[in-house]
Amino acid sequence: MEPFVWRVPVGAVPGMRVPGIVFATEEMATKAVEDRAVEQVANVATLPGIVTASYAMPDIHWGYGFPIGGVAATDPDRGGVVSPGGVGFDIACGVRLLRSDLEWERDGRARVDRLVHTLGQRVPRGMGTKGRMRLSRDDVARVLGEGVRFPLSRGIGWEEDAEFCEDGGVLEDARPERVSDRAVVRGAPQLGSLGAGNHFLEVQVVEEIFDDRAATAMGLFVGQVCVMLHSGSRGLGHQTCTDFLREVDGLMASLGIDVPDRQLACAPLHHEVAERYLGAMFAAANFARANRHLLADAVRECFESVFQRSARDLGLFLVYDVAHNLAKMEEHVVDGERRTLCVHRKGATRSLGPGHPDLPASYREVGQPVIIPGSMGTSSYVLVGTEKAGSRSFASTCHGAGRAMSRTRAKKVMTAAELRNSLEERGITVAASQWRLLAEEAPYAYKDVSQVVDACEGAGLSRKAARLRPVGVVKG
Amino acid sequence: MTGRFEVLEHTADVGLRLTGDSPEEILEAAAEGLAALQGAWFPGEGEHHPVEVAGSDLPGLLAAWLDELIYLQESHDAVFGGVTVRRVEDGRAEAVARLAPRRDRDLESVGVKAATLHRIRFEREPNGTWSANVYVDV
Repeated sequence: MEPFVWRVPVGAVPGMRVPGIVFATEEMATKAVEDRAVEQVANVATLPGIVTASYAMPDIHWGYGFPIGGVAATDPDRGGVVSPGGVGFDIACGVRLLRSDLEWERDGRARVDRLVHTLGQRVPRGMGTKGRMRLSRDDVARVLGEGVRFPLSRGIGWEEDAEFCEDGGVLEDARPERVSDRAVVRGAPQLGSLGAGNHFLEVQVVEEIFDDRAATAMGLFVGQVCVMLHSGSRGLGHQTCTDFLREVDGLMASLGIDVPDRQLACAPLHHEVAERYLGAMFAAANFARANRHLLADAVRECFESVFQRSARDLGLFLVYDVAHNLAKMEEHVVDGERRTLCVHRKGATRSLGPGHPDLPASYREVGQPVIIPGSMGTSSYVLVGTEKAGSRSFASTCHGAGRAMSRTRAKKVMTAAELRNSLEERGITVAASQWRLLAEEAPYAYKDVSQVVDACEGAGLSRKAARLRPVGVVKG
Repeated sequence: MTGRFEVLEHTADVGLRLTGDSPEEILEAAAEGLAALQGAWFPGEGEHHPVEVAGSDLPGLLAAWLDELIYLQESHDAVFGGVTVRRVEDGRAEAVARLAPRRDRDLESVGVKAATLHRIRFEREPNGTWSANVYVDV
C-alpha cells in the first residue's frame, strides 16, 4: 500500500469482515506469510463487530488464534465480541523500566557481577515458584481490585510508582469475584515472582539517545544504569484465560458464531459471559501490575544491598510500566466518529501520542513511553507513542523483537554453555534458573529488534527515544 | 501399541503429536508429553489422585485434560509419577494420576501455561488407530 504497510484483502480467507493490515518491511512481511502468521491476521478479520482492519505489528509471528503482534478493535454496539485468546493466557504480561542515577563506567561495571548474582538469588523465578508476598484470601481480593495500590498500602514501593504505570497501576472495572477459586489457588502464591520462559530481568546501560526531549522527560541519559523486567499475571492469569476460553468455546454454537480457528472463540461484548470475562481479566491485569511492582521492589532491595545506599539515593525511579497482552475499552475516532471499542492487543503495546489525557503529566508533551525488550544479549529500546498511531493502529505498536525460530531449533544451533560463553565474551553477565534451556531464548531465535523498531517508526506507530544494551541478564 | 508423543515445532510455543490404539492411550500420551515439557515426569513416584474431566467433543476433552493436569501440577507444586486413563466415554474421561511433591527438585522447563485450541484435533485414523495434535502455550 505504502512503505511499511501491507494489505491482506477481504476474501483471503472465507468470512473476513475487514481487510488485514500488516506493518512491516518487505522481508518481515514475506517471513510472516511463510510463518502462517498472515493467515492468522486474516482469521482475526472474521471476528464479529471488528472495526476497520485486523492489524499486525512488525514483530508479527505465528501465535495461536491471534498472531503475536495482533491488534483488533471491536464495537460492542455493532455486535462486537471479546476473545479471551485475543488477550492470551498471560494476561497483562508486560514490561517495566527503572532508571537510576548510577553511571556504568563510574559505578556499575565493577559491581555488575555481584549485582546480577544478588538479583538471581533474591528474585523468585522459574516454573511455579512461590512469590515474595504471602496473601490471605482478603488480600488476594484486594490485589485483584487495587493492583499496585495494594502493595503501596502495605508500604511496599513508592507512592509515585503508580503514576508511571499504565492506567495508574489499576483497572477500576476489575471484578475480583469473577476470578475463579482455581485461579486464586494456582496463582496467588506466585505474586512477586518472575516466572519462566521468556520472562527476564536485565541490568542495562543507556547506549544511545534519539530524542533528547523525550529522554529528558523520562530521566534517561547516555551511560546510565537501568533495569528492565518482563513478567505477567503468572498462574492466576493463565487459569483465568483457560476458565473463560473453555466456557466461551462451549457457547459458540448457541451464539451462532463461527470462527476459522477454535482458539478465536469469542462472545458478544454485551453477553453476560463477556462481561464476566472482562471483569476477571481486568482483575488478573491488576495482579500482573502488582506482580511487577513487587519485582521492582526486589530490584531496589538488591541495589541497596550491593551499593550500600538507599534506593532513593540511587535514584531508582520507575520510568514506565506497560502491558502487551490486554484488551481494554478505549475511545477512538473512526471515520470521524468517536466510538468506544474493545481493543485487543496480543503481543502489541499501547502507543499514546503527545497530549493524550491518560498520560502522566511529565510525559504528556512527549508521548507514552513504550518499553521494547530485545532478545537476551541484544539492545532494548524505549520508544514514544505517536498521534499517528492513534489513527492507523488504534494507538498500538510492537512489543519486542518477535520470535523467528522455534525453541527446538534454537537449542540445535548452540549449546547453553556456548551461548553463555558468547554472552560473557560480549561483557554480559548471566544468571539463569535453567542453564540447559538458555539456548531457547538465544538472540538468534528472535528477529532483529532494531529492524522492528525502525519499521514501527517508518510506519508512524512510534518513535525511537533511547537504546539500551544489556550488561546483566537474570533469566526466569 | 501404547500411546506415544512427539514434539511439534511452533515459532513461539510447542505442540504435541499423539498416537495410540485408543482414546485412552491418546490421553495417556498427552499426559506424558506434557510432563516431559514441564520436566516433571518421575515414573513410579507419588500417590494416586483421581482425575475426571469433560469436554464438548474429543478435541475439547483433550484440552480440558491437559488443563486439569497443568492445574494439578501447579496448585500442588507436584511432579507426575504416572497416569492411567481408565475410560473415555460420552465426552468424559476418568483417570488416575500419580502426584509426588516437587520439593526442592529443580524442574528443567520453561513452564506450560495452558493447552490452546489452535489447530487442535483428536480423531480415529482410517486404520482404526487414533491420533491427535495439540499446541500448548509456554
